[in-house]
Amino acid sequence: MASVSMITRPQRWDAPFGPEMTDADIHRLTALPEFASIDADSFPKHTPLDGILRNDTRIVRYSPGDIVVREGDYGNSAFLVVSGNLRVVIAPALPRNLIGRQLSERKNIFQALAQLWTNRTVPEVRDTSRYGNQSVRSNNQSEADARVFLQDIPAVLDEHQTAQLGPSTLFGELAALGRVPRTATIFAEEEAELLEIRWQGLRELRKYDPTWRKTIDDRYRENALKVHLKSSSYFSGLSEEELNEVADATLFESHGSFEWHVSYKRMRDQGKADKEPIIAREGEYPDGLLMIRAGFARVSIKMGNGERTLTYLGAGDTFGYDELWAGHQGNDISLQTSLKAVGYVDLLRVPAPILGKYVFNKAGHHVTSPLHQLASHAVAQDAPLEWAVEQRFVNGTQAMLIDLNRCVRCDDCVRACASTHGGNPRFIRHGRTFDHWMVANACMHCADPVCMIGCPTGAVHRSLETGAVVINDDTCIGCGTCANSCPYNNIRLVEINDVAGKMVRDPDSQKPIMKATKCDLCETNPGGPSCVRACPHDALQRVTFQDDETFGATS
Amino acid sequence: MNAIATRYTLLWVGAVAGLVILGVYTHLANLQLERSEFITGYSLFALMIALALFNARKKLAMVPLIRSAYWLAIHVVGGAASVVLFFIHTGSIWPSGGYEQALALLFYLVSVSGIIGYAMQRINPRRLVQTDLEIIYERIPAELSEIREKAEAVILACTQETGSDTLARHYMETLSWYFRRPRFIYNNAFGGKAAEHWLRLQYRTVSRYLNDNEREYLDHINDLAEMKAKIDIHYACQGMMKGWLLVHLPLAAAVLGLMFWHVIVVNVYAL
Amino acid sequence: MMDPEKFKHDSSRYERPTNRFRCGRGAEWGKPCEFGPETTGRCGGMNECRPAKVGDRWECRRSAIAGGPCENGPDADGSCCNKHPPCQPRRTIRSIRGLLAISAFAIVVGVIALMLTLDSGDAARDSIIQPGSLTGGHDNFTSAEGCISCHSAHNEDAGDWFLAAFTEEDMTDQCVDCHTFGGDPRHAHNANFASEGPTTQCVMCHTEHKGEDADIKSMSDAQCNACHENSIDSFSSNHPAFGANFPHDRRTSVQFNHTSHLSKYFVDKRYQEKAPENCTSCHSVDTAAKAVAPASFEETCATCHNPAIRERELLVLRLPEFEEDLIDREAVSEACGPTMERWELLQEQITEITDAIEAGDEVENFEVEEEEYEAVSLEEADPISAYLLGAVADDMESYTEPMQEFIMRLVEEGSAPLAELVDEKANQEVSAAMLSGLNSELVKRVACAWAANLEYEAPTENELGGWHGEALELRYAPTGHDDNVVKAWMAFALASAAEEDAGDADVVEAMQNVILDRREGAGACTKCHAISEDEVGARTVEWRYQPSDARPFTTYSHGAHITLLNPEGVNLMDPEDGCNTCHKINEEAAYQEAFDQGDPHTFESNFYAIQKKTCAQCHSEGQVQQDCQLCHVYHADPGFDLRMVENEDAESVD
Repeated sequence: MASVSMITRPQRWDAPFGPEMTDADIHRLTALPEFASIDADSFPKHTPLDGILRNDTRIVRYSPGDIVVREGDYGNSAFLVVSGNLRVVIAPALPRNLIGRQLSERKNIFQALAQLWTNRTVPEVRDTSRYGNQSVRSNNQSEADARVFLQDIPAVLDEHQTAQLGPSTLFGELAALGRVPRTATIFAEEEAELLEIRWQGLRELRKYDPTWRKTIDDRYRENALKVHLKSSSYFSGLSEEELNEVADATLFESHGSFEWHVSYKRMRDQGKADKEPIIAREGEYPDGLLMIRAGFARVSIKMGNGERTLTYLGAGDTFGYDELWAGHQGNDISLQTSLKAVGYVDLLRVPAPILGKYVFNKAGHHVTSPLHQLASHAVAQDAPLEWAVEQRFVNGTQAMLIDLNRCVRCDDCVRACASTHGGNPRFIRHGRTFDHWMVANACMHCADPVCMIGCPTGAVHRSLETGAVVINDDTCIGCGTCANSCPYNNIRLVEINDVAGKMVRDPDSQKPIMKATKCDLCETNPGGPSCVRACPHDALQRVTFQDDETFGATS
Repeated sequence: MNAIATRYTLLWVGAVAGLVILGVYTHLANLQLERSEFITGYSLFALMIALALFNARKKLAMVPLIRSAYWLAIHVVGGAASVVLFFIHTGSIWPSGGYEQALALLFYLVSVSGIIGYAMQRINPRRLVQTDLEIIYERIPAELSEIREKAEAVILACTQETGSDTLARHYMETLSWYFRRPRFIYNNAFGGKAAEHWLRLQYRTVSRYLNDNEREYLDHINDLAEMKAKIDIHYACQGMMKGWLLVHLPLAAAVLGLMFWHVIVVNVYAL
Repeated sequence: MMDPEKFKHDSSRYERPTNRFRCGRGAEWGKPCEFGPETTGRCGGMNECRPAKVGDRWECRRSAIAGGPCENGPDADGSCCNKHPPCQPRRTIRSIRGLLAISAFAIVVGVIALMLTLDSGDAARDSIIQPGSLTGGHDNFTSAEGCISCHSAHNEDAGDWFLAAFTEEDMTDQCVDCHTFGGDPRHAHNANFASEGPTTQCVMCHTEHKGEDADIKSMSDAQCNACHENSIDSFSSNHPAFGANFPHDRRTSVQFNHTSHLSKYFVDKRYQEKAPENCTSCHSVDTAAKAVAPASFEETCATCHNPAIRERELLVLRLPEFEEDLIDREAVSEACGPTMERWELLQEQITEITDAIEAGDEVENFEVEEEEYEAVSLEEADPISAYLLGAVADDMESYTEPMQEFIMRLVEEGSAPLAELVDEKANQEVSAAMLSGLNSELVKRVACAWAANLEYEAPTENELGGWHGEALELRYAPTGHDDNVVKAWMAFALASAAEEDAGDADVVEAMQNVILDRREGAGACTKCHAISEDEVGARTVEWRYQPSDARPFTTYSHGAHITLLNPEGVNLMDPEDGCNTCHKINEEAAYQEAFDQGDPHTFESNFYAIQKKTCAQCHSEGQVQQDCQLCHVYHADPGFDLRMVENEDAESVD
């Protein structure tokens, strides 16, 4: 039996967000009005305020032109402006090259090829020496070094509509908490000092301090609303004042549990369907247009003794439009379909009069085929859709869908996966099947990645570049929260071995050190997911369920 | 036309065009009293190397080297084309020299095994889907042993609960053979229903000696047996899909070896 | 659908298809252990966990997937309580496949390497090189030396052998070791055409190693067209028309006028019985290829023409009239003895003397009375002897002396002086034959008679022919057809030429005229046998059938056509069938005129030229084959080098 090597079991805050946070920094921060007003005693002992500041925040300095956040990025942190002014680009969006979209650090072709001989036959080998030097481990460190800046600020200000963000402004909490992409690009107008708060810290602040909660919620609602309304085709033609009027009248609501996966898994284990909160019921009269901002909702209609799923709505989709239009025309029509929250749904409710005033009267009728017409589909045709919603696969943006009619079970995909991950596969070629479709146990890179909820170190995060959900092996403490959260069982904990092939154990408890592993979409490897490339039979594809016609996409 | 059909159509058109060009070239070269074998030979050589590189491509999955699906399409179409090109190159079906006959024989065997393998890979996946069960080949032993354990537990429970050893006896005498390991492999491989038939027969055979209480256990056993029947189909079909490469690959390696030798000898002696 | 429990993250591990080994227990359909074999192939499942020492206690560390910590816990010494006998891990299918592939490649390389270590020439060693057996003939003669016969690289050491891959080898050098051609083997058709064709190699057309019975000679029409600018699609379509006189390019060597024979003689009642039945009576075409030699004289012409041959005598020497008698009769008498007349005269005189003595008469002074000379011959000299003696036949003055001296020598020495003269004038090849069979005694007797100024009287009739004397002449009568003496004299006559300034042109011409005279004497041979001049003007009599030397690249098989046309069943006179199908007599042709001059190529055939359309009646699209090689051969005069024959002899001795 191989002998055992020892390292300390990783703890939360072993890897602070910013390694250079000094006591002076903390002191300075607590003097800020945003923190001075906080009652530190309301925080529990294991997560004190200064601990949050020390470990979950960092002070980042920006030079004029430096981009702080980019539109479309997935970010896990919010920013508080300490000093200096920033600019948020409202419209039009900055060109992609200007905001310096960069590739994540991919291996070049030779580094990729080197895996041919560097890959180990011993499973799950890790260079454990890396874990000891934790400040080096922070991948955010290198991110700061690679900052992109705008060369010509006046020109940008000239050509783009921008708004100024001054000290004490909090931003980015929308993306951090809502697990949605950044909605705007923000850059430093002058020398600026920002406090970056990772979402775990933001979550704690919101949880334990009512002022922060109110601030965050207000801002959250306001930001979500305005940005979302603007992106909707119904309201895109409105002036700023009209839009403000719509925004003022619009209601912001969320349905379902923020941590829906817990109940979903529990119910499924019991063989039952999860409870899906009803947002709007068939037969009732609509009082406003429902616009999905985040999450998924199921559109269903009564059929026989059950409910038949017609389609599901994701971010940007609307519900009730046809009935409201009919009402506007003078035909009182009740809702033809029901809407139920599949998991957690953020939505906007635009009241009917407002809709009539600004949309129907101004822009006229938009929709050509009402949702309930989907019921004309053959039942069999919708069976895959029903299944995909039932299994919550609609959440997946990069689900591994295998056509078993083509798959010859050669395992080339698994071996390709292993070859790009140090000799270790990152998925299992089994999973739930429907007809000849199998959704394999590989990370789907969900639109709503519940695995990220509860990660104490933020090791599970969205890749800034691709939006893929990845696990930072250096900061993973092997607690298993993510693996337990994932409703699809696509995260697996592995016992690691050191470079000598020895099993690695915690010196105190003698328990093996575990690391959460999953598909990272071959983030660091050139050429995209190697599993897709490796499939000789076109059987394996990574699909966004919302876009997949087999599963009910209506393109 | 979907992407796959388009891909294959393009490749077939390309292959046919290439073959026609080489065929016409060979014909014209013969008329000009020139040696066409040089061009067609090296074309075949390059094609064979390209076919062999498919295997290398699988080992280099970490490098972006054109999707494997394209490689397979090239392999399939190229493989079929290589047979024709072989005829164009040799001008005959069976050469007269010893080692050339060995080369031709191996080449034909590789081609035939490839065609059989391809056909199998088109047919077997659908048969597997129709079992309504999916299992990883490597996990079949574990799965079977689990089923066996369950079956034996049922038998044990039956004996303890009912005090009758009829079912246990039948299990020991007959059913244990079935649960021991995959059975009816060849029948399953070729789509027969021998296992189904056998299970029905066993059910009827023993059913008449059982009371209702015992029959419940028998039904339970039968469910497990039917589960195993599906796994057996997977074992046979997946095994076939893995097994044919045991023939194809070594033969291909041998063909490559002889091909290199052929190129050397021809260059030394004839060119 | 599988049991969904199996999908759970805490109930199954990643499958690792890259592993080379799998659990031996699983391979025997037992329950595979949780960990599986180690990467080295050793069993990794002898214990279910590796217990850990926490403080003073050992704790079970069985993983959750394997069922979590066990009830009993580790043994006191810290080892797992669930021990299993080690299994023998098996290789995975993938691993076996890799091994098989490598082995297959290694076996191929190994077998080749092993064969190469054998001695050169070993059949097994050659079998990994030889791409196919040679055709029978090549196989035979290369069996002694082996591959090196053609492939120079074969016996080189490994390095040079391999380097030979990068040098070009032209097999032609080796081919011409044995094969010979009428011209440069690297020239198209082995001929020197005006336009420069490509350099050819034997292997362009002839590729070997295609089996013992492989046809390595056939060519397609299109291949012929590869070089020929006037490409010919097929014989019937655009093959050019045959030339005038086709297929003849010269007159016949024997002047046989088919027109006159067929229309006059063969129908003449007197000869009808002797006339041939049909063409094949004279022309045996059954086995003939391109050229059909007529049957021998004896089988054909002899029936009518043989009897006349004996009568065609050659007059070699004649006793001419002399101006004066210069012969020393005493010497003659001494050499020949007295002649009968003389003897009778002497007897008479002796009787007179005896009578006179008996009568007591005075015996007169006895002396033989010389009679007044009166030449027995009133003829001129013959041109042959005149030429031999350097005299002029009709000039008595010029020959009287040499001729009489010559006769005297003949009297004394027999045929030798004649031979001397012939040797002097004729070349050696013919001189021996010219006087073949000439009896020296005969010459002497003839000469004695002439010396005595008497006609020679042959003791017997000359029936068998040959040399004989006849009154004033020494003659040669041919013993039959194909008489060597006559042929020698003819050759002699044709070869003789006037010496440049000797002024004896007339003498020579007279001699030639008499020997070659068609009408009379032995010269009648040339009535049938043509006298032809070659390029330099040398004349020869065509004693033998001369096949045409034109169209060396064309062939034809009379034999192949014969069964089809069945000439034997066809009446000779039937103009429509048999040989007449192609060979139609041209009655208008001035056939004979061609023989009045020396150039054999200035001629008019007795037959109409064969037309292409005649052939094309059968050889055309969809009928009888008509490819180039049917009628044309590629090589000029292909043959074998003698060395090859010698080799074969040497072998057969072995």
